[in-house]
Amino acid sequence: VPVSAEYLIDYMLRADTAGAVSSWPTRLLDSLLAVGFRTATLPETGLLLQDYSPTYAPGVFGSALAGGALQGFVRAAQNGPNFGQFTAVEYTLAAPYVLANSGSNSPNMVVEFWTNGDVSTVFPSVVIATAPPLTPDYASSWYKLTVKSTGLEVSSSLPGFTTQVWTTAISSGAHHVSWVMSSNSALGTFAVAVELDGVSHTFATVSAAHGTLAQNYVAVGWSTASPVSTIEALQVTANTGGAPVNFFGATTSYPFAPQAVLNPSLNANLNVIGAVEGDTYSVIQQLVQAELAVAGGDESAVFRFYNRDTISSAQPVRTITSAASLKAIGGAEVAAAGVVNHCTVDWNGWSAAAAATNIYKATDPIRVPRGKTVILKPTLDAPARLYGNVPNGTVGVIADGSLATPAFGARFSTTKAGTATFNANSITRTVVQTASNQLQLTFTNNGSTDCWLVSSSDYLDVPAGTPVLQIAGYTWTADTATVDYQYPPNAASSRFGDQAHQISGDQWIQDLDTATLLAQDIVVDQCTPRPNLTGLSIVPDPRLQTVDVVHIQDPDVTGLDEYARIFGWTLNWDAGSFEMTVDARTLAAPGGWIMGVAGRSEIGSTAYVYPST
Amino acid sequence: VITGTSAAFTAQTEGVEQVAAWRLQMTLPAGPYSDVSLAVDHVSINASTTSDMPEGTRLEVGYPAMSCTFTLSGLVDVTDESKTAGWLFGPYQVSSPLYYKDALYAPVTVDIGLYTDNNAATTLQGTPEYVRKFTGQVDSYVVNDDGSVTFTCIEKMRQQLRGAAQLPALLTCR
Repeated sequence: VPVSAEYLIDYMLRADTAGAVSSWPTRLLDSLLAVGFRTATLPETGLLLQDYSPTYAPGVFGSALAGGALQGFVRAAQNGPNFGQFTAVEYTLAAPYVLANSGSNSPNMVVEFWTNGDVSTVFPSVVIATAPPLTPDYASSWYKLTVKSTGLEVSSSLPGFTTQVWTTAISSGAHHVSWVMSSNSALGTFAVAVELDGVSHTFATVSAAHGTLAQNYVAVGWSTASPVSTIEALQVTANTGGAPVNFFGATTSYPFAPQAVLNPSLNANLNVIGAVEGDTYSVIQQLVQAELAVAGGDESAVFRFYNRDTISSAQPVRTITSAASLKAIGGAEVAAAGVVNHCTVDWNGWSAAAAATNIYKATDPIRVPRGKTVILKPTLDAPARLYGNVPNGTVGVIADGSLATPAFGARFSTTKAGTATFNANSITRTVVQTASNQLQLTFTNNGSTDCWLVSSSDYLDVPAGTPVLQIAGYTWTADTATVDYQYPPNAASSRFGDQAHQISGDQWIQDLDTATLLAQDIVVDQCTPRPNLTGLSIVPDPRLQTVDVVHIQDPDVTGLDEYARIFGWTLNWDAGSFEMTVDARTLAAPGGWIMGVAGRSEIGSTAYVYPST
Repeated sequence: VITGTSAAFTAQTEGVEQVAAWRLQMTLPAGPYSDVSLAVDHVSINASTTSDMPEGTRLEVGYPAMSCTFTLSGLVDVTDESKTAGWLFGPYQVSSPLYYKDALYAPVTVDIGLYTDNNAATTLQGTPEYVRKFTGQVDSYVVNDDGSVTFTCIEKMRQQLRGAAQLPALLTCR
C-alpha cells in the first residue's frame, strides 16, 4: 500500500482469467506463495508479513521488486544470514511445507522467480526458513538460494549441509531461476537441484536427510543495499509432480510467454478503492481513462497496457510516402472543438493518520465456548490499515494499565463477569484485514472452560467484566482537492478563449501529483488544434497497429510532411482487391516548432516547448 | 508495430506490387472444417482506439476495439461440391455437422500473408509469410439466400474479460 494501476490491472486480469491473461505465470500446482511484484508486495497466495518501503524498477515482463529498506534496525538474528538486514519483503506460506516426508516420493519444494539486471556485486536471494525473522530460531533453520554472476548457490544453516555452488556464468539481463529441494526420511536422502533458464543442475552430494522441518517463512531480498537487479514472479510450491529425476520431475513456469504486457502506471498512489461497477474490461478502462493510457487486446489477443509516456515518446515505425506507399489522403480535419487550454482535475485521495489508534473496540462481552471457534467480522467506521502496516497479526494480551496503547490486544476471562483470568495459551487468536474497512478476528478456544473477552478481576484499570478487545491501526481520511491548469496562463486571452475541460468524481485519481501531470498533459496536447489525417489510403502494411507513429510525406500535392499517431485502421480484402486505410492524429500543429527543429513535434523528447496559441 | 517480419515483407509494404494471401481459421464445435480460407469472399478488419472524448480532442486514450467481418461463399470442402458454406452453417441442414449446434463464440483467427520468396507469382507459387491480424470470436452470422454466409466477429480480449471485476480485498471499501 499504496498500489498502482499496473498492479490493479494485473490483479483483475488474473482474477478473471485464472492467470491465463497475465504478465507473470499462472500459479503452479499446490501453490504456497505466489507474488508478481507488479509495484506491490501483496501476494496472490500466502500472507505478507512485512515489506519495508520496497521500490520497483522495470523487470522482465513488467515492474519488479528492486529493493527495500529496513527501518533502522538489524532484522536478522545474530549469525543468521546477513541477507535479513536488507530484506525487502517477508511472507508466510499459505500452509506449512514439511520438507521431510515419510513416503518414498516426497513432494518437492520448488521456488522460482525471474531476475533482471546486474548480479555481479549485489546478489538477489530467496530464503526459506522454519522460524520467522527476528526470532532466535531464524538463525538456525534456513535455506537460501543466491544468484551470482559466477553461478547459483544454495546454502543453509542446517547441520551437515555444505554450501552447494553450481558454477555457471550468469550474464546481466533477464534470467529465470528455480530451485527444488526434496527430502525423504525413509530413504535418508536430501537432494537439491537448481535450474537456470531451463537448464537444470543436480548437486551430487548434499547431506543426509534433515529432520521434519516445517518451512513456513520466505524472505526476498539482496545481499546488500542498493541492488541493481530486480526480482519478480516469485512462486513457492509443494510440487507433487513426478519422480526425483531430471530436476526431480518438478514443474516450473519456464519458458513463459506473457499474455499481458504492462507499462508502469503513471497513477501509482491508490490507497482505498470504493465500490466499482462493471465487468473486468470496463473497470480496467476506468483505470486507463484516469491516466489517459491505452489498454486492450492486440491482434494476437495479447493484452497491452501503454502509459501515455510510452505513447507520446514512441518513435516512428516507418515512413509512408506518396512516392511508394501513400495512395490518397481522405481529409485533414481541424476543429476548434478539439482545443482544450484549461483543465481542472479533481483528485480524491486518502491520508493515513500519522499515529495509530484503536480502530476497533468491542463494546459487548464476547464468548468463545470451549472447543469452539468464533469468527468476528466487524466493519470499521472508516477505512484503515492495521498497525505496523501488516495485513494480519496475532491478538495479544493487554497488560494492566495499557489499554490506551494502540495494539492488537484483548483480555480473557473465565466468566462474563470477569471472575478469573482465562489462560491465554489455551486460545488461538488472529486478526486479518479483509477489506480497508473490515477485519476478521478468529478465536479458537482449546481450553476446558468457556472464555469471555472481558477484563478479569486481576486487572485494576477497568472494572471486571468490561469488554476488552481492540485492534490498532491507522485510519484513512478522505482528502479532496482540485488541480487547475491552463495555457497560456490566462487561457481566456488566447484566440480560442477559455476552452475548459473538467475531470471530476474519478475515484482512481487519488493524489496531487497524478492529477497535476494529467491536467498538464491534456492542456499541452490540446491547447492548439492538431489535424487528424483520416482515410489515408496506403499500400497495405499488415504490420501497422493502433498507437504506432508513422511519418507521412506527400510533397507534391498537399505538402504534408508530418508525424502522426495511428488511432484507427481498416483492412479490406475482396477478390481482386486488397486495401488499407489509416486514421492518424498529427503530433504537432502544422509548422510546429520544437527543440530547434522546425516543423517537428516532440518526437523522442520529454521536454515540452509550448506551441503558439 | 508487429515485428519479426522479413526484409522482403517490409519491402512489399513500401512498393506498389503485392501478392497477398489470407488465412482464416475457425474452431467450430463439430466437423473438420477449421480452415475456411478457400471459401472466403470478403474480409474486413477494423481497429480503432476508442475514447470517450470527442474525436477532435482525442489523446490516444481508451481501448483498442477491433472487429472483423467476413463472407464465405465458396466450398468449405473443395473435394465435394455439396459442401458449401451455406450447407455448413445453415441451421436447417440436417447433414451438416453443425446441425443442432451453431458457430456463435467460435474462435476465429485471421492472418494476412505476403508472398515474399522468389517463387511467388511463378508456377511454384511460393509460400506466404503471415502476420496475425485478428483474434476473436464469432458474435453473429447470417446465412444469405445466395448460399453465402456473413460473419461478424469481435476481438477475443473483450469477450474474455466479462467476469465481475475483482479488486484486492485489502484495498476495497465495502
